[in-house]
Amino acid sequence: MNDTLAHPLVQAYLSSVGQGVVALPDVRRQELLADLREHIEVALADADTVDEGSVRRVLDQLGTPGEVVAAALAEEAGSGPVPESGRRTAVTLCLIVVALPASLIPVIGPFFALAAMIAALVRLWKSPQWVRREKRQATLLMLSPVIAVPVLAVVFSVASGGLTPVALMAALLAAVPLPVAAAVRLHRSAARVRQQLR
Amino acid sequence: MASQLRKGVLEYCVLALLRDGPRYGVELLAELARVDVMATSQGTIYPLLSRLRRTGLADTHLQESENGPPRRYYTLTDAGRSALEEFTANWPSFRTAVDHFLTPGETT
Repeated sequence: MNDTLAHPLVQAYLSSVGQGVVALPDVRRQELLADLREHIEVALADADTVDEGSVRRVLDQLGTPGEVVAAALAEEAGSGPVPESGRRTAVTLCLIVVALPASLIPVIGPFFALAAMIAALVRLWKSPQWVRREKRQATLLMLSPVIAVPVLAVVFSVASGGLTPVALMAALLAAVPLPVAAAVRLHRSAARVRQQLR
Repeated sequence: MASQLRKGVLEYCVLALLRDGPRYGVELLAELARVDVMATSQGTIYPLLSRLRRTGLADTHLQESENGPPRRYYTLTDAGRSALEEFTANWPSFRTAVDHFLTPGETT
């Protein structure tokens, strides 16, 4: 039964569909290819003889790779990211950017930073505008200062001889690009989603 | 034109084909292809089947076969059955409404 899948025509067909649906989530792509593989195997097992002609017939009935790809992409379009209001996005991105520098404000700073961070994460994960992968990447970038700041503080302290407030502040500021990068990426993909719907 | 029409009703035709029992993919598609209007490139149905599975309207299981590889059988879930019943209930009035507009002299 594996011989039928090894047939050059089948190989070419499957790889052509595979290339066409690279934009789909991995799970969906694998599932489609597995479904097609199973279909070809079963259809050829149902056929009396397996020769070039029957392979062609089975592939013809499936439709051109282009038709299958178009159907798969159309099916996925309905469940893709949905844009939210520009204002909502702006608030979320501001919270992401502001949290870390805000921790420098005396006394209330750390509490404010923590609150901003939590609010930003909740808004990010509740939004239908970004796919899971984008949310995960953004979350990692947002939380990375938790590790990056102490590490940088140690490095700066060693460099300047002893842990000084200046070294700590420098470490905080040096980590600011991390959440900013998260905000920039989220902003770009949100703009892309809006563009597509136009 | 025909493909636009088909898009809306195809999934209910698939659900209807599963009403009386499980069918495997190739069998299901061959059954669809038997009716000219619903005939379409078979490969384009798999994304639809995947969605039915994902949204819980249909379920699948593998079953050994006497000849060749195991077959993936599609079955109707309870949710699928009630979606089909709802569509079946709505369809006649929908069909009548379209006929109403299409038949000359019917509209006033």
